Amino acid sequence: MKMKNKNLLKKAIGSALVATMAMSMVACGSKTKTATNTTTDTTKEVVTLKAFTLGKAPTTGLDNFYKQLDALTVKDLGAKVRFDYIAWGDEKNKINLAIASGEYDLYSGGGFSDYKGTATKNAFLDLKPLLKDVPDLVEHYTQASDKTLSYAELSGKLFGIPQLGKVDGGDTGSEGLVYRKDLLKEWGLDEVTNLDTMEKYLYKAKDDARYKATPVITDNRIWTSLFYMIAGGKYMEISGISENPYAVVSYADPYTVVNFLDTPEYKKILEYASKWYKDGIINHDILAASANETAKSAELLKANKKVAETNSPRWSIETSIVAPIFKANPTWELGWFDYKDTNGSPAYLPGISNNSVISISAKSKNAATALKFIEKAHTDQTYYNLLKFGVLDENYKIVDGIPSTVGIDENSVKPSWTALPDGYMEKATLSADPKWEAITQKMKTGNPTPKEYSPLEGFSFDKTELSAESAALETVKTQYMLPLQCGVTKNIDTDLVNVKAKLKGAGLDKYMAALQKQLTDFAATR
Amino acid sequence: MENTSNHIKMGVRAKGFNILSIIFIAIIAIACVTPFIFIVSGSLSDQAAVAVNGYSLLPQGFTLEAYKTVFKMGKSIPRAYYITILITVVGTTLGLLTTSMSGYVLSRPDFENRNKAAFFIYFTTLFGGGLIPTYLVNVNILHLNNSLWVLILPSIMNPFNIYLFRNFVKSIPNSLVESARIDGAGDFKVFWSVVMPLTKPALATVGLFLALGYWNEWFRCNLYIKNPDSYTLQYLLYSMLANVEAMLRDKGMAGSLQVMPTETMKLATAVLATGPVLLFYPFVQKYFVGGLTIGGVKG
Amino acid sequence: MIEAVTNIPIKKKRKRFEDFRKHKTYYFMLTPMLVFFLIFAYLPMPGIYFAFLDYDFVKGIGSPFIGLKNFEFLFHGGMDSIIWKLTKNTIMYNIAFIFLGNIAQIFVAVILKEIKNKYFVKTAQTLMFMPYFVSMVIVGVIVYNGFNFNYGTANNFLTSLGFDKYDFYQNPAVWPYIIVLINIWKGLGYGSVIYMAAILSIDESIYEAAYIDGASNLERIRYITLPLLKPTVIMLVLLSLGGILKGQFDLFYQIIGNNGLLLDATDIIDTYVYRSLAVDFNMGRGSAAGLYQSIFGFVLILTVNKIVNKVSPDNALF
Repeated sequence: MKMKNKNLLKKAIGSALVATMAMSMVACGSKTKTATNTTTDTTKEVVTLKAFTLGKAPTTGLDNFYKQLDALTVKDLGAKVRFDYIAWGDEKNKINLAIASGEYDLYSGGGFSDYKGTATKNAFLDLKPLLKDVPDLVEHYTQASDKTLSYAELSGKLFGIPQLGKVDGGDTGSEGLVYRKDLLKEWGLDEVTNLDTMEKYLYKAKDDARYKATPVITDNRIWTSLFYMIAGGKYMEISGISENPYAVVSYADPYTVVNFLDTPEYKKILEYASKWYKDGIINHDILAASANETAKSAELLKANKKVAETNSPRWSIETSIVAPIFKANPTWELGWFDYKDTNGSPAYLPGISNNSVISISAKSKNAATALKFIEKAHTDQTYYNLLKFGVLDENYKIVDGIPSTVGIDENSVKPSWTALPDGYMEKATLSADPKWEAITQKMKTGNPTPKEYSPLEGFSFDKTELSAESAALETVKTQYMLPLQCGVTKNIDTDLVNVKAKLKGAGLDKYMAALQKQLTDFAATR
Repeated sequence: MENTSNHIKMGVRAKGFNILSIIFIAIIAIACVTPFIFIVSGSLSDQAAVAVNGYSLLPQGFTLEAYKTVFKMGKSIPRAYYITILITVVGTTLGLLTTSMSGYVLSRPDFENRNKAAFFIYFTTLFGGGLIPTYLVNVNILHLNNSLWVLILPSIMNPFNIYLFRNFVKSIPNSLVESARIDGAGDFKVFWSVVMPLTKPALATVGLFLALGYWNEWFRCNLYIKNPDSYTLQYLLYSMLANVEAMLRDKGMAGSLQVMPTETMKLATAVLATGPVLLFYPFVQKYFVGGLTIGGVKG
Repeated sequence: MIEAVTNIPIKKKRKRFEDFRKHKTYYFMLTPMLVFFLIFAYLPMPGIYFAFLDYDFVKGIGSPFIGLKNFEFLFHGGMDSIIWKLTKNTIMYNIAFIFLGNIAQIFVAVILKEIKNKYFVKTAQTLMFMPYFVSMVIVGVIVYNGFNFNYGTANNFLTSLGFDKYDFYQNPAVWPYIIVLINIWKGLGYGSVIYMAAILSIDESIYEAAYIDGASNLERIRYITLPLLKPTVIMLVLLSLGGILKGQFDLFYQIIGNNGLLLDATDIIDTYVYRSLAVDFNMGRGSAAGLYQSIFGFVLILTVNKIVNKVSPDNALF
């Protein structure tokens, strides 16, 4: 008996030691984020709103950030706002979990999260009834058109305040071809302005001994570029041509669904792709590429092994290609050919319905205050600069009157409050390369200013009744359509017949019928 | 006479067998380590060269650029090492204590409910609530959010380790247990003083698995930990890469002229994460040599 | 058993309490385990119910009950149904992983035991452990570098021998082999540790006795090592069988990704579900897929365990 007790005692001491060690850890671990400001609580009840930002927290400046922010919010709203910095990576999962557990008052959502899926399941508050309390916000959003906010609605409810793009005649989000203008001149070719001149450029590169070894097209989204060039003048995509390659509408009749695979344009896309694949313009393993190649191709461009980049949006090329090339190879010249530029499609106001949004949790206890905070962010320049860039001289500097992060240590750069960017609150930023800047300027002045929104603006395809078909179609798309569209085929005609049969088996007819019905209903509301 | 010649014959055969075994294992070991060599060499290579030529056994254009960038971006790497070591030590200790106790009890033939208890834990490997309910329990009920405990507690036991330990204990002859009982020892004393010393290989195995699990912990850190001071090593490295890729996508940056060797950085982080363990493993190895030290068992 | 000889069977009325008192220490020692699993495993389990709901964030657990509707996307299409292909792929891969993997690990462990040079054994074991640490992302990169058409190592090797380049990424047939091989490679060091530990627990004197009796290496392996490893093998295989429909998502996703040409041979339930949810997120459907996998594994393991119980009861899981 004594022995047993002694052993139990030993075990108890052991556990106690472990527990003490653990206690010290809890103290370390739960060291919360900054609460360093010593502003005393006002006599009024100050609530705390919780929000998050995607990205890495800056290592300096946070103390001042909250000091300045609190000074503003406590006075104006009787609230404090605290941000968690959620690192990128698995962000969909993290945001879904946060929604399920009700951790935040303010949520940022969009393509990077399952915004539409969760919003339609009432994760977020319908803000429409509350808009009457934020007249400044509403006015801000009517600068371009009265209907802007209404296009952000889903099933008639406003689940979030969208990011706002300013109309400046150039859509920085569209994709295009980045190419070497100096090589173009060297080869004596015409400037790239359409599919033909683009093709000539690509083929010339293949013949040049310097660039022969590396296939110039490595991105499996190339078929979307072909779509814009070949079919984009006649047809408009419905929910994004990658997500929904089956159905399009024509600009002439925007509310009648057309089966894209039946059109001659689709066949033409396949023909170009297959020709380029056979001739080695398209990388042999383009389907396996995915993440492996796209990061690499920027490297190859910089290393003078590849002569073009086919599927990056213009603003991303700025940081990943233009700036480094400008630094390392000042004699090079870069050209830009926007796929949508010359295809003859009408220009519309920048889209709203697919933008990132800031939403308010359905479970939030301070919804009204949260909405007012969003209003301030979008209308008050001090708020906007603070939330987007951070603290002046710690997270960003003013260079020539424009906020810039040149000269700021990487670790001190603050990611902007996700889904906040507002074209009307910002001044345009200049490109690092003056030659590139010239191109950007030309785009802005060259195009007419659009006045209207696209006829499909605000339309959202509700697929809840089509879950089985959606899933099956998705697999057919990946397994059969994508290879065909990247030119990996021995016989276009037989493969196309096969694809259509597989799509039918997956339930395409039901999908299209549902789409048409929803589109017709939508048309009636416009 | 016969025996000796037999032994000589066997000596030769045994030697041959030995050599064959060594060759076979050497081939496998090389196959295992070669990809790793590619990774190390890639991490020391020039980014542009790797993009053009692919990976190779020797570094191309030897440079420490990738590592420099990693350390510049991850000023908190030492802190992450500390956190990871902390949770590994605490977690493994707690895990070994609880797993060994549980495995021991489940192996006792005189414990009638052992099968029911075994099924109780095994069932959890078949059915689970899923990511979201688990998250809700951890955050809303247990409030483990943002505390290091969330990285430690949910992993201290798992059915696999418990079954493993149970199995090892079963191979200890019952006669040893009986003789200890006859000497008047209670159940716990039998466990602690008699059985435990004999299960060194089992303890080493389970301990190793636990330690490796904690060392590699990143998923839960990703979900639950928001404070960068509490990041584990693996997670810090993972988030660094994800952040770099995201920064290349982020619209709001005006004129960030930094050129980052993203591909080679990926490899450098892999090396940094793995390196220390390879130094640690041989040290643990000696605990694997064990087995029954008490004299031979009759019959 | 000695106890059986000395115990006089008495009709136990309050058997449960007697049992508890007799094994007080056992229950005390078992408490951490019981509490642990209750909190971390059983408490979240009601979440399975989500599979049958049309989950609404405001209504939460009170969301409308829609029965089996969430399962439809898995079973779409009847005879041509994709679920049979996915289930078949998942099972085949897992069987290969489990059986071939364990055989490889046993093989390595057994051979390692026979090697006299302990320094070599230690080094080899350390090296064999490395694949465990290589994340699947990097594995994907390495595989791509190895097998791509333009500059892949495998193709360089083939051309140097005078053969034509082979299009790995367009031929589904080779990938099951590549994937199984990679899985075995990754788990070799890790799994062989278990078998090594089991082998090392075998009393050395048995081996010595066999040596004296003139048994060769191979005979010692066949008659001592392997039979004594049987319990461990059975246990490990049983433990793995329960998860037979649960794939290794990372492995397949990083290596195959969205390469449609290979999907017929390499698509498993997890990747299919991932693709569907990525396009159209739905909490109920994710739970439904998980539940399908769990039930399948449960039925399978009950059956197999029953069989093992009849054949060699000591080795059954429960």
